[in-house]
Amino acid sequence: MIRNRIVPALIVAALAVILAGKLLFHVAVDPFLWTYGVLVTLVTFTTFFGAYRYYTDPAKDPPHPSVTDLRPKVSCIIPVKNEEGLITRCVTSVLEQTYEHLEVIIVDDGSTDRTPAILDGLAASHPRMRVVHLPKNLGKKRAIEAAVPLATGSIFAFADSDSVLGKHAIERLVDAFNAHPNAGAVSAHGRALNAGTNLLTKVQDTWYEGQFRLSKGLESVYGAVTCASGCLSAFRREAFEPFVHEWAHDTFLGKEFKFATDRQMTGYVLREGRRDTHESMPATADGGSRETPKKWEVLYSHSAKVWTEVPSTWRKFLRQQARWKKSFIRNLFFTGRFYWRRPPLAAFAFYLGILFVLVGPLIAFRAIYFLTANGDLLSAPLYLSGVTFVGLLYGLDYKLRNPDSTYWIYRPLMSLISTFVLSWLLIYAAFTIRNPSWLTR
Amino acid sequence: MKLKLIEVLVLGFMVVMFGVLLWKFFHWPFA
Repeated sequence: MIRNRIVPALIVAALAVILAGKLLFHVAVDPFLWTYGVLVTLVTFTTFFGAYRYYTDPAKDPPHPSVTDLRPKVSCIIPVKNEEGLITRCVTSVLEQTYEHLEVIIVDDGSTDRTPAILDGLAASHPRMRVVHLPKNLGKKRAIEAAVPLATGSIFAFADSDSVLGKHAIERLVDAFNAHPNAGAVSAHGRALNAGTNLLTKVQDTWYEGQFRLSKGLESVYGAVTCASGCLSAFRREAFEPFVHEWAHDTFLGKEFKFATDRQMTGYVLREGRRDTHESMPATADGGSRETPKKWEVLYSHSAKVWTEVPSTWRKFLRQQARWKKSFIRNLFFTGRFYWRRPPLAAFAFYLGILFVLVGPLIAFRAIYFLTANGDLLSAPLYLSGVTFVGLLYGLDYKLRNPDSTYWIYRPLMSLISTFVLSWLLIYAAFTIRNPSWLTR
Repeated sequence: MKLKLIEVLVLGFMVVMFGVLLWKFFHWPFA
């Protein structure tokens, strides 16, 4: 449709005009604000342009000729703790997948509500499903570790217990693996399951849409998605299994680190090369054939849909965000150590993104309080306008793929919340990073 | 696709905001 071309073109053009304006005319303002503004606009422009122009859904590509088994067995592993309200919907959505070569392993991580009984009831009528009851709560990572030895599939699909999978989700993820033999992991497209609950959930839904389709979309172009989302992602057995123990027992600053489940899991795949033995290559000195480590790709499939419950109260939302910030910090010292080996543009965006997160709060402080207090009364409103405008661009992008929804108008709120509330959580997260409490309830 | 009144208003707001952002490039009192 023509609208699908015009709106992205307008969004990209608006960003290009602002970027050009900043570069050509606007050098006399506060240099910190200017530099930050130019870089943010550049990254935003690159994200929209790259994701629109170059992203294609890897699940829509035809199977690669080298792939012989187009129906690999998938083991879907879901750790769960006290999720009696949603677990039936979650598990049913997996059991009703269009992809049938599938086993389902649910790990009950020491639930104290009706979850164990519900799971046993479901397992009784579904032979493809098995339930592992852990005697006590071990945490999400160790629950997954307990399930892996039982899994017989060549692909692991990990889902969150508060998520509901689209009917074709697993099939799409498998299609992506079939088309891309170098893909070590594929992330699905996540949205809010309870988007309609209140303003906060609407805001988060619009944010998820952009985070996945645009940010992960651009990373996927380079085969280097930094976080295959925990709500639903699939991993090749050989890309992840060797690291399960190390991952599940991750320590940071001398203590066990319980967060960063998905981000860290993706990190192992990004770090490790795929080891293929090429007979055609010259033999090594000891007569053996040379192993060529080839990088795994991590992709994102827009058509593999999953809906996950998002926090509906500020308290829960801020706790989740604090947890994510802790994961971000932990992952800086993991993925940050080797991501530079990925394609330069992806690496550039990755490290610049880190810089934004680190200096974002300081820039907001400078623009809003410091400059205003020093008599510059225009910087603050213009900074706010910029943040809101970029939020609106993301909103338009949401509207593009969700034409019947009006939620897009709430998207700028997420930009403002992000700037003035979430960015500061980084400091809180840094000071409490050794506190392992999950704080979900 | 039909736009609701609120959506039209937000779009209008967006255009105005874009205008403001462009305006600043040419009229900056602190330069």
